[in-house]
Amino acid sequence: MRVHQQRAYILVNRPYSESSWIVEVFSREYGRIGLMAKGARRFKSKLKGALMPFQPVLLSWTGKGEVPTLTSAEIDQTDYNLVEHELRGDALVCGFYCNELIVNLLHRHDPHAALFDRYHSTIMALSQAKSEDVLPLVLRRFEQVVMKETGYQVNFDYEVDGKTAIQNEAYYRYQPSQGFIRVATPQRMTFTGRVIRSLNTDSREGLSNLEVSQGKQLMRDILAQTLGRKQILSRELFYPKHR
Amino acid sequence: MATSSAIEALKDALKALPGVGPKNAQRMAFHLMERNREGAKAIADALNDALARVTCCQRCNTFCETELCEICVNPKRDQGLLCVVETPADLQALEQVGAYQGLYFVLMGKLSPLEGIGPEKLAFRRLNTLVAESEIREVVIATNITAEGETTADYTQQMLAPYDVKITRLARGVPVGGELEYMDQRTLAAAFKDRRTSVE
Repeated sequence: MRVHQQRAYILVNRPYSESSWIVEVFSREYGRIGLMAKGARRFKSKLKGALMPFQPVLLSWTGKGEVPTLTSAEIDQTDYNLVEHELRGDALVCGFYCNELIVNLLHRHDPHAALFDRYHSTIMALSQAKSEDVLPLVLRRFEQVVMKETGYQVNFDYEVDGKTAIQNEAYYRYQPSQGFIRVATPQRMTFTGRVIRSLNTDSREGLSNLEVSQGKQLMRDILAQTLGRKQILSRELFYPKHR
Repeated sequence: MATSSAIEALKDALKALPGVGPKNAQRMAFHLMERNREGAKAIADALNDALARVTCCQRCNTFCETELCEICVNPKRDQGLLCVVETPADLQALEQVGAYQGLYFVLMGKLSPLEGIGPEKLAFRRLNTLVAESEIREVVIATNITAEGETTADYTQQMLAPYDVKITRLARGVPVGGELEYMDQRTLAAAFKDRRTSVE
């Protein structure tokens, strides 16, 4: 099978022999796949620059089997600027976080074009973030799309029965793989409807800092349950801020 | 088909080497047993010897046989300069150039969440203590120019930010002998971004 100029992102490069890499790729039409990049580690290889994560690339490959051979790779500069869109610092760690979600939640050879487009816009948003405060919002939005696209969608607007709307002022607890159940009084691990519903929108307007961080915690719990034994390590890569 | 349990064990052990799979391991094991028993003995002795004697330098964390490595005890080295590298191989590469006369610190890897390597698995704490307790005026971060290397560099930089030290990073740019026409775009873009004033 030959594939030409497929839009993709590199997720991670793993050394294979002295001179090659096996690259883990998230492609738009073929989903997550592994490709053999022969000779990519050589000093003179022109592939190296194109096979960096967090930049849109056009890849061609050939061959059957579990790991086809990469035949060409170039940076897709349609709406990507090599200088302006470079991820650094916290945005770079956020990028790794997205990659971890993709690697842990997507099966190989399972195409997710809509998620690919969201991944692309997420990376663009991370690279253009004017301040660190926007990064969490970008990630929450990405988490939602990942959950939806991989079939782990959580209903943030209705209770477990799917009919009763979640009320801003009421308290709820999350029941894994079912949804939200209303509780009479706030306890440990319960959240207000306002926090829960905020996870379904792009806006954090009208939410206190405490509520934003509760939303983050809730999403983290839901993701942890979805991931099971797999761990997300990127969070540890944020160096504790001195404030 | 298990010919001998000792050979099976040897094959399994050889698979620990990078890039060696079952086929290669078998080829190596049979070769050593068939035609080069002396060589096999030498490998076994050298391995045992290395395992018994090689430790990490108490200061810079690179491999050595004494408490402190040769570079760390050398009085001619600039004690105010510290170069942070990922591996002893990187240290070796920089040493061969001979352009650097300061001290080193080896992290023993790079941050790589997708490979399960977080900050706890690298020597960040020791680096932090070293910078806090020594008279260092400049830290040169010389991690690889890969996504993982850059993350490692950013993490190091943030960790050392509270100290009164100058923090620098190896320059990225056009390699010596490089022709712009044939340069990969990523390198060229980085070279442009990191361009410097021409007059010294």
